[in-house]
Amino acid sequence: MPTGVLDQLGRGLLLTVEMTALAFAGALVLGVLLAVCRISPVPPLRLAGAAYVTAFRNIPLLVLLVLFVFGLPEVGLLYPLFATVALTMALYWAAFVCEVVRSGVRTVPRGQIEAARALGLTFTQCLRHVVIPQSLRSMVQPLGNVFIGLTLGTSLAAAVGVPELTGQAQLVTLKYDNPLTSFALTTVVYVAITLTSGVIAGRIERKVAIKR
Amino acid sequence: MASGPGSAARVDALLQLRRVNKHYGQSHVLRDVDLDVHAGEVVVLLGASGSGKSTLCRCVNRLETIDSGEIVLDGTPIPAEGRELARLRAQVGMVFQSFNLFGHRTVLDNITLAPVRVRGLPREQAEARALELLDRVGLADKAAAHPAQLSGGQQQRVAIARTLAMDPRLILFDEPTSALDPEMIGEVLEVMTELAAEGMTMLVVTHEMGFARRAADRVAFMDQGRILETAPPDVFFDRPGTDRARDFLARILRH
Amino acid sequence: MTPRSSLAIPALLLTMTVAAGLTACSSSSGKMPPPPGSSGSQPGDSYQQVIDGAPVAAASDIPAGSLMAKIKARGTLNVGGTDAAALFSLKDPVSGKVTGFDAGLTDMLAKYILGKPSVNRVQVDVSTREVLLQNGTVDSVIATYTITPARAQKVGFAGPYYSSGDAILVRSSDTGITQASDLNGKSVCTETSSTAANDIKQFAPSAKVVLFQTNAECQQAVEQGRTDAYVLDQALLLGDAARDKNVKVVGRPFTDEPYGIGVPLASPEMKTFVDNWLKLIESDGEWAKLWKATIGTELPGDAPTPPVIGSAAGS
Repeated sequence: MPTGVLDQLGRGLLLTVEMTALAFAGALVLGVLLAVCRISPVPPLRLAGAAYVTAFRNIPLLVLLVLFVFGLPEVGLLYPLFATVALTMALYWAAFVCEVVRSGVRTVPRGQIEAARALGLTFTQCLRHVVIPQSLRSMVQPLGNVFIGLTLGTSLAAAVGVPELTGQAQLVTLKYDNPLTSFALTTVVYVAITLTSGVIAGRIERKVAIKR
Repeated sequence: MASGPGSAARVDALLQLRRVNKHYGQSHVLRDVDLDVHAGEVVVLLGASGSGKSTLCRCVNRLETIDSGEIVLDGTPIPAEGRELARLRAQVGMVFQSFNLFGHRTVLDNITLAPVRVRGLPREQAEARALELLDRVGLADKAAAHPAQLSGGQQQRVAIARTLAMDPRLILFDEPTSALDPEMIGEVLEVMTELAAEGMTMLVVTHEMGFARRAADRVAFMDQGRILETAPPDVFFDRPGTDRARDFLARILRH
Repeated sequence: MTPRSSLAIPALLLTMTVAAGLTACSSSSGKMPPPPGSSGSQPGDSYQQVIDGAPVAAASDIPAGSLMAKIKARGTLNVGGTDAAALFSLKDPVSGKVTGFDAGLTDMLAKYILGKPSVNRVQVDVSTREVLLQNGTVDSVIATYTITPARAQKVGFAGPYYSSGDAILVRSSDTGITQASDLNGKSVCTETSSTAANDIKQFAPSAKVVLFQTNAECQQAVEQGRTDAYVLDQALLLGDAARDKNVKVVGRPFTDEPYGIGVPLASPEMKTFVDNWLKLIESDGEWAKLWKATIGTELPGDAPTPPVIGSAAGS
C-alpha cells in the first residue's frame, strides 16, 4: 500500500483522537452536572435532568448526528462539521456519563450522606468530600466503557462528512479499491485505542481504591 | 438528679416540639407529639420497636420531614432545605446506630472534616482539638487508622468524638449501642454517661434501661407514635403511670 | 426520586418537538420529492405511448437454447434495477408504477422478448449488481450502470445506451463555479459509495472532499452552505435540481460515464441480442421518444445523439 495511504489514515486518526478527547471531556462535564441535577433536592432540576437523559439515551446516535448536522442549519445555526459532530457526541454521551455517576453515587450508603448532612455539610460539600471520593472507584470501569463506546462511536462521524479514521478509510477504499486492507488497518487502530483505555481504566481504578 | 434549669425562673426549653405529626403513607408514625428538652438536660426516649422514637429523633435535625406541628431550637423553628438548615445541623450533633464513619478517611480526618469545611477552623487547630477528643474517648492511638480497622465500639466512640468536634448545643443519639456486640456496649455508654455528667444536652433513643436510670433527667415513654408519659427515671421505672408502660417494663425486665 | 412514568412524558414531548421542528424545516424548503407526474410537463401519457409503440422481436431472433428463449419460456424478464432514481427509475408511491429512462428501457426490452412488458424488478446496488448477474438471479441489469473494463471482467455489457458523467451541483445563487477547475480550494461533497471522490481529486486537486451517506444529505449540505458544491453523476444531479429550485446543475459532464445494460458474461448471445435491439430503437426513434418523455422533461432541447454501440471500453 502506498505511503500516501498511511499519511491519509494518519490524518484521520488525528481527527478521531481530537474528536474523542473533546467529546469525552464535554460529556464528562455535562454528565456530572446532569447527575448533580438528578440527585439534587430540587424537584425541577431532577425532572429536567431525567428528561434530558431519557431523551438523549433513546435516540440512536446516527439519527442525532443527522438531526444536528442537517437540522441546525435549517434554524440558522451553521457551525463547522467537526464542531457540530463533537458537540452532538458530547451531548449524547453526557446522558450515559450522568447515569454512571448517578449509579456510582448510589453505591455510597445512605448513612454516609446522613452523617455528612447531620454535621452541617451543604449538599455540594457532601458530594465533594463524602460521596464522590467514595463512589469514584465504582465509576471508573463504567466510565471506561463510555469512553470505549464514544471512541468507536466517532466512526459514525464519517457518515456525516467528517474525514476521521473511518472516513479516510472510505476515501482510501474508493481510491485503491482495496477495502479489506484499509479497514483491517483501521480496525487494528480502534482495537489498540480501546485496549489501551481498558488498561488505563484498570490503573485508575486501583489508584482511587479506598484503603480499608 | 438534674440541677439543670429547674432552679431558675421558668426559661424556654432549648428544644421544643409542638403537636408534631408525621405519616409514612397510611401509617401515622408521630401523633401530636409535644416534648421539651432544656439546656443541660438528658432526655431518654423509651418504647417498643416501631413506637416512633427513632423517627422523632431524626425529625429534630430534619433527616426526616414532619407533616404538621413545629420543632423549635432555641427559639428558631428549624428551617427547610438549604444553607439555613446546614447551619442548624452544625449545632445539633447526631450519633447513629450504624456509626456512619466516612470509610475513605482516617479517624483524624473524620473528626476534622466538618470543623474545617463547615466552621472554617484552621486545619492545625482542628487537628489539635480532634486529638484531644480522641484522647477523651480513649482512642488517641487510632488517629491514623481507617474506620474499617476499628471495632464497632471504637467506631462509635470516634463518631461521638466527631460530633463533639462541632461543639454542638444538643446531641441526638439514635440507638447508639444497638449495632454493637454486648462486650462493647459498656465502653460507649461510659462515654455517654460522662458527657451527661458534664452537662451536655442530650436526646437519647435507647433500649439500655441501666443508662436511662443512671444518666437521664427525664424519661419519655412512646407508644404507637404518642408520648404517653414523661417522668424522672426513678418515678417511671418504679411507678409507671400507664398500663402500656407497665407492660413494656415487664417485658424488658423479664429478659 | 420521581417515579419513572412521569419522566417519560416530558422526555417524549421534547423528542417529538425536536423531530417535528426539523420535519417542518425540511418540508418548508421543499426537500420532499414531488410525486412523478405532478411536475409541469406530464410524462405519463407520452411515456406509456412509447412503451405501447415499442417493437417486438421476430421469433427467428430468439434461437432455441439462448437466454432469451429461457426468458420467453419463463414469461417474465428478471431485471436488476432500482425504484429510487429520479428520471431514470422512480416508483410512484401511489400507483406503484416505476417510470423513467431505465424503467422504460426495461419495459421495452421485456416487450421485445415477450411481447408484453412483464418485468420482475430485483433491487440492486453497487455491491450486488455483478453477483446477481453471475449467479443468474437476474437476466440483465438496467440501473445507471457505468461500463468499466474492470466490471467487464465479471459481466457482459450491451450498449452504451446513454452518456452521462460527473457534473456539479451548486446553489442557484452561485455564479462562481461553472466548471471542474473552479472547485479548487472549495469544499465539495459527494456520496460515500461513489467514485466521484476520486474524480474531484483528479480535476480539482485542492478541493476539500466531504463524504455524506445519501444524495439527500449531499444536496442539503450544498443548500445549507455547508459545502460549496456537490459532484455526482449528472443524471442524478438533474433529478435533484428538478425537485429543488434552490440548487442548479452547472457545466458539462467532466468525466465520461457510459451507461450499459449488464448481462451475464456466460450469455454472449444476450449481449448481441440487446445490442441489436438498442440499434433498432435508436434508429426508429423510440429511444429519442423515451428520452423526451423522461430525462427530457427536465432538460431543454432535443434528445441527444445516443452513444455508438460498442464505443465504451468494456462494451
